[in-house]
Amino acid sequence: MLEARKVTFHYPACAKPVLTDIHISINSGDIVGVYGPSGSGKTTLARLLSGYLIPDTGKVMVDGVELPQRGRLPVQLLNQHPELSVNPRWMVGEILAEEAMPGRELLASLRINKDWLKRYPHELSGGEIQRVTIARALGTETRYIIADEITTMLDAITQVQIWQVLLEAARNRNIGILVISHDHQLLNRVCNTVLQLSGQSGGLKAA
Amino acid sequence: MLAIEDLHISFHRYNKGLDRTKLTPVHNLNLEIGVGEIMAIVGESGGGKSLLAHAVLDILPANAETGGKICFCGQELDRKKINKLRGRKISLVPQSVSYLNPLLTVGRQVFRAAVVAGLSKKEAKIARDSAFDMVSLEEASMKLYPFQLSGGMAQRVLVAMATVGGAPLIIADEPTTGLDPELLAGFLELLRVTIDNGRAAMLITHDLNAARKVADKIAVFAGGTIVEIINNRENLTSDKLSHPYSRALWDSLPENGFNLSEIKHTYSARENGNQQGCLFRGACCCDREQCEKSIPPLMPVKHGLVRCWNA
Repeated sequence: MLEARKVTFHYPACAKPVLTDIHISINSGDIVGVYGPSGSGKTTLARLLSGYLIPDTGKVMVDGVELPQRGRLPVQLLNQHPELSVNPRWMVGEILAEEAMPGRELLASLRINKDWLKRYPHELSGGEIQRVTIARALGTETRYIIADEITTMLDAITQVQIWQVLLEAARNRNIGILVISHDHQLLNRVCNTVLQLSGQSGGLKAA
Repeated sequence: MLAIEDLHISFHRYNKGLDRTKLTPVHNLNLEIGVGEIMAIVGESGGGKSLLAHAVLDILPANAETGGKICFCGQELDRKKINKLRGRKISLVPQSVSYLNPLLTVGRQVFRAAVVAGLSKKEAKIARDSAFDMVSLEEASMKLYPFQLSGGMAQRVLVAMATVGGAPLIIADEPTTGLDPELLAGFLELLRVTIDNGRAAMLITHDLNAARKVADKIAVFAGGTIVEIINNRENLTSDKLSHPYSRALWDSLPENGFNLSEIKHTYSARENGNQQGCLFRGACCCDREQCEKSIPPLMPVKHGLVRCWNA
C-alpha cells in the first residue's frame, strides 16, 4: 500500500500550505482517481507521493516503510508535460536504457517504433514521448504509478491506447495507479475509486 | 477572414551524409474561416495540427518548406505581410506553457505583448488589467513568475497575452489543455463572446467535446490533412460522421464506449505522404478499388464535407 499520512506541504514562496493533513492510500492493483480545481494541489500531491518533494510534516509510506530517497523508487511519476521529464540531449534509446531496456512486448503494446530509438525527444510528438516515458516508468521494480494528467494533451484514440496498456499492467503486475485528471468521464471509466481534492486544507473526500 | 488553399508543409531531414529524405506532414489542406466563426480543428496529437497554425503565422522552423496559398481578409500572405500582421491582426495562444519567458513576471509579459501589438504604454497597462480580469486571474498573480503558476493559471496567462492587443484572428493551439471543467466552460464562453464581436478563431484541439460546445464548424484532421468538416455541431452523433477516422475518434471518448473501433491505426501520414490512393487504405474497414487509385477530395455530404470514397 502506498499511503500519505497527515502530509502537509508549503512552497517556500507562499506562507499558506498547499496541502494540509492529507491522507490517501492506494492498494496494489487499485486504481484511484483524484480531481479538483486548478491550483488545488493535485500535482503537489503527485510529487509528494513520488518523492520529488518532501513533506513539511507527515510521512509517505510504501508497504509500511518510508519512501526511500535513493536508488530505484517503487513509485514512478508520469507528468502532464512528458517533454520536460526526458533529457533533451539523449536519444530515446538512451532514455529508455537508463532504467533498463523494456521488453519487446511492452514496446510493441505501446507502439514504440524501433526507429524512434535513434531519435531525439524533439523529433517526437507529445503523445509519442508520453509512451516512451510510460515504457520507462514500467520498470521491473515499479509497484505504483502516479499518472498526473498524462493523457490531457492527447487525442481520444491515443488516450484509449495508453490506458489499455496501463490498465493491463495494473491487472497483470498488480501495480497501483493514482490517476489525476480533470476529465470525470475518464476517471469513471478507468478508476475503482474517485476522490475530490478541494483546495485550501479542504482535504480529500470521496466523490 | 482566413482562406487556406492546397497547403503543403514539408521538411528535409538528413539521414547520413548528404542523403536527405523529404517528409510531408501536412498536404492538400483546404480551409476557410469566416468572420464571427470559430473553426475547431480536431485530430490526432502529433499529426501536424500545430504546424498548420505555425504555417499561418510563418513561424515554422527554417528547414520547412510550404506550398499553397494562405489569404487573410482577401489578401494573399507572404513573409513580409505576415511579419506585419503577426501579433497585431493574427495572434497565437501557444500550446505549451514553455512558451512563456521564465525570467519575467507574467504581468510584464502580458504588458509587453500589448506594447508589441502597437498600444501605448498607458493603453497597454489598461489592456493588461482588463485581460487579467477577463481570464479571472487575481491582480496579485501579475507579480508571479511562470514557474510559480499552476498549469491552468499559465494557460490563462497565455490567453490573456493573445487577446490583449485586440487581434481579429485568434489562433488557439490547444488552449483548453489542463483546465478543469469549470474553467473550461468559462474559457469557451469567453471565446464565444470574443468571436461574436466580429473576430474569428481557429481552435486547434484534440478535445472533441470542447469543440462541440463552442465551434461553428468542426474540421477533423488526420493523416496530415482535413478529412472531414462538420457544419452541424449540435446534437452530434456517430451517424452524422462520415469518415472512419472521425467515427473512431468519437467512439474512443470515455463517455462513448472508450474502445478502439474501425480504424486500426496502421496508417502513418508522414511515411505515406507520397503514396498513391487514400491514406487510410488498409487501416479502415472499407476497401474499394477507388481507394487504391486516388486520394479522395473533400466531397459534400449531408452534414458537411468529407474525404472518403465510401461516404
